Order: sequence, then C-alpha cells, then structure tokens
Amino acid sequence: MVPEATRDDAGNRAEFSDADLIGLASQGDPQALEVLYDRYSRVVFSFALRIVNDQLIAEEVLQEVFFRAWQQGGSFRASKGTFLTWLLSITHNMAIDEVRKRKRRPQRSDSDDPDVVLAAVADGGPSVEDEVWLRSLRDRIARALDTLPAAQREAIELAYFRGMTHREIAEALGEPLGTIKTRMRLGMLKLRDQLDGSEVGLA
Amino acid sequence: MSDLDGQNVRQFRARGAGVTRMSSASEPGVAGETNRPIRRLAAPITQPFPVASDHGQAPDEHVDDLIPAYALGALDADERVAVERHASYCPTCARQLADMRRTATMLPFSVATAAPSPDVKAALFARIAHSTAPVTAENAEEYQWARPVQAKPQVTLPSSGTWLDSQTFTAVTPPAATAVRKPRRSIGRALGISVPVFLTFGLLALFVIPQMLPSDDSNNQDFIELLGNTAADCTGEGNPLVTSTGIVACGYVQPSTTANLATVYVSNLIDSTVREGYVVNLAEDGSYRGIGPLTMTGPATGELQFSIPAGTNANTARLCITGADEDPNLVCTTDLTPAA
Repeated sequence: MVPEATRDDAGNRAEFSDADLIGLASQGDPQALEVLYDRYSRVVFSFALRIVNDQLIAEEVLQEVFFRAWQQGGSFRASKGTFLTWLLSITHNMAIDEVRKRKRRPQRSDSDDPDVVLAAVADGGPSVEDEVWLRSLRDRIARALDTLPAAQREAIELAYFRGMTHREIAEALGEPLGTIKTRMRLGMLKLRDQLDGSEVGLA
Repeated sequence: MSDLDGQNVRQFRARGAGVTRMSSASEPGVAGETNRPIRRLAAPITQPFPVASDHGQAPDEHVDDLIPAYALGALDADERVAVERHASYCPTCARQLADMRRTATMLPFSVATAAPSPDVKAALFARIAHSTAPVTAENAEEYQWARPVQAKPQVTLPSSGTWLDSQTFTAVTPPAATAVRKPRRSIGRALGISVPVFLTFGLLALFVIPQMLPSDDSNNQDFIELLGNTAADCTGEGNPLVTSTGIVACGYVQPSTTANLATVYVSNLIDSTVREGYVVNLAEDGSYRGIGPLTMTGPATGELQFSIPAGTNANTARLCITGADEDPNLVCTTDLTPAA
C-alpha cells in the first residue's frame, strides 16, 4: 500500500486519514501510529475490557493490538474494510484468545460483571472529537440491541463478548443447539435490519 | 434448512479420520508416530471442489443456520471450515456471510468507552523504539526471505510440466544448504508473489499471504521473541514461511510416492491470535479452495495429507495457511500471482 501522504510531508498527521496514517506507520513512522493510538486506544481498550473483564489484561491486549498494527500495518487493505474494523477484528481475536486461555487455567478473582469492571476504570473524559460519532453510534447500536428479545441478545452476547461457541452456550443454558442457532440467527438478522447504513464509515 | 451438525459434519469428520489413518500407514515419515496427540482430524478433499452457479445448485447442504454463528465467532473449527468451503462456491451464502460479518463489526461500538492507563502508551512506544522497524521497500534488502533446506529426505518430481501428470516420483535428498540457497527477494516481489517455500524442487509451493515480515531470525530476534516464537530457525524443518498473522513458521510439501497425494508439514506454529488451529487452502489462478484443517501433531506442529485436485499446476498452485477462525476471503484471495 502506498499512502498518499509520505513521511516527507507528514507534518500535520492529526489531519490525515486512518488509511494514510497506517501507511506511514508501516513505513516506520511511529508518530503516525501515535495519532492512530490517540484516536482509537479508548475504543480498543474498552472493547478488550468488555471481553476479558480485567483491566490489566485489557491493557496488555491494547498494547499488543497496536504493536501488531505497527508490525503488520502493511497488510491492511483499505478495500477490505476500514482501519478501525481491522483493528477491532485483531482486538476481538486477541481478547477472546485471552478468555479461552483463562478458561484453561485457574480463574482469577475478577468481578463477573463487566459493568462493574468498566465502572471501576477511570474514564478520561470525552476529550476527542471522535467521541461524538462514537456516542451516536453507541446509542444507535444500544437501541437496536434493546429491541431484541432477551434470549436473542443473550446468545449474541455470550458468543461475541464471552467467546463461547454455540455448543457451549446451548450446554450452559440447557437449551437445544437448534434453539441457540435460531436465537443467534434471528437476533443478527434483526440487528442487521436496524443497523443497515450504520457501518463505520471512517477513512 | 439443513443442520450441518448432522449429516455433513459427520461425513466431514469421517472422511478426515479415514485419511488420517491412511496417512499413518502409507507415509514412512509418519509411521511410528501414530501415538502423537492429534487434536484435530484432517479433512482433505477427495474430489475437486464442485462449482455451483447459484445457491440452489450447490451440491451439499446449505449452511445458512451456521452463518450468524460464524460471524459471531461461535463455531468450532470443523464447522468454520465447512461454512467457508460452502461459501466459496455458493454466492448466496457468501453474500449472507459478508452481510452477517458486517453486522458483527458493529458490536464493538456498543461498549461504553473508558480510558486506559497512560502507562500503556508509554510502554507501547518504548517497545516500538526498541523493535525492528516494519519492513519497507527501502530496507527490504536487509532481509532474506529464503533459508536453506537441509536434512529431511524429500521427494521430487520432474522439473517441468504439470507435476500431477506424473506418477513417477523419485526420492531424493536435498542438496547441500549452499546449493539451494535462494536469492534475496525484494519486498515488492514478496508483496505480489507471496513467499515460496519449495520452489527449489519445482513442486507445489507453500505460500502465505503477503506480509512484510522477515524470516531471518538473526535480523529479527527481538521481533520473534516478542511474538512468542523463539524457534524460527527452520534448519531441517523446511523453509520459513509467514502465516497470515505474520508469525514465522516453517514448512514443506511432500508428495506421496504411491498416489496422487501430498502432505504438508508445518512447524513453529505459535500464534496467540489463532484461536482454533490452522487451515490449509489451495490457491491457484486467483481463487482458493479449502483443503482442510491442519492436524496438529504437537503444540506448534501440524500436518495435512490431501488429495491433489486434478489439473493442479505446480507452477501456479500455492498453499495458504491461515488461522481456522480467519476468513480466507480476507487473507488468501489477494495477490495470488504465481511465483516467477
């Protein structure tokens, strides 16, 4: 990928698009990565925290995600999606991996309630412009999730944020596998219909 | 609609089990190692993949009911492979898959944001300052992509023509390391060509998606250690390759002497982002097809024996190793230009 911006004219990186910044970072420009970090570290951290439910582990994931972006930014293809969805996809994989690793080890004594953990984390305040679109997007998705029947929302939650397979969910809830599949399917279709057009349209 | 937990997956697993046994019995290199822990059954293809022009003509059952779970990451490895395989020739399911994945990408934004400790940023950039810079066009020549092949006896084929046409294979021992050392490959070529692993013998070459990561651990010891893979020296284990997530591993392909089969062996597969093992895909002429999950023979090693699809050309075909939970559409379909 050859970004339109090059290091020579990268004076005001804060105004560059994500795609240009990751292009610069993949050429070895740490300042470009820093701009991306400032833009998205909160999103990545919060998403990881929601999954791993442990602040220290979420911070480890955060660091690892951006280190991967630094090392592998050259593999990002704008044609395949936005930088942020790429970054969050890496985050999801790494955070779920942590959860599954912990399943195989003795549990730490973390709170089981993600909201409790989130509330315990100091919020640095809405200091960036991105907060506006983020909040708007969050409200829209939260409203869409709220319209789902609780059972469908639960199936999606356990799969996506807890890293459980549909078999594990069926076993944990004592429901037939087919029921869980149906809940996921109906829930995702309903979400799709309600969120149509809400895709993250960042550069 | 169909239930892939039923008939299809049972057949899928049964085929894999059969081939695994055949592999143990027919491959001298594998015999005697049948007690190794096998985490996952191989499921090589036995027929060329069918091509259906539409959903309704797909020759196996549909996977509609698994697609939402796929997008949510809630499938087991076998099921994921089945979905990906089906979607590779069923346009309707491929569209559904893309649709559901797009919906799933919205879910992270439902989380209220909180700020991480400022220490994370400091630690990250300190680490970056001490790490190897990403490989760029400017410094690509500092990196060497190919390493010598040593030790293991290999089987080779006539150096020209379509190797599948030949049933006469000759076992050979690779030449000395220096004799097979390949020239340095520029990053530009590597980006477009992928990393060939076995071109020396004119065989089916392992390839991985373009990644700007070097395989020479003398240049990149820090990098490799940081990623948890401290055993990237491929001496005796084939040639270095880079998995789709950029982890250095080693691998080679060995065709069978008795049938139209080949086995791919991969080692040093340590990748914390791969949740459910690895999948082998055969890429040729700009498209790919799933061959099956890599049978893990140890924590970091895997192998897969597979039937070579009729018409496969050694000059154009490559194998692509991806994480089983990765979408080959995202990691395997770009830059499939065959190696020169």
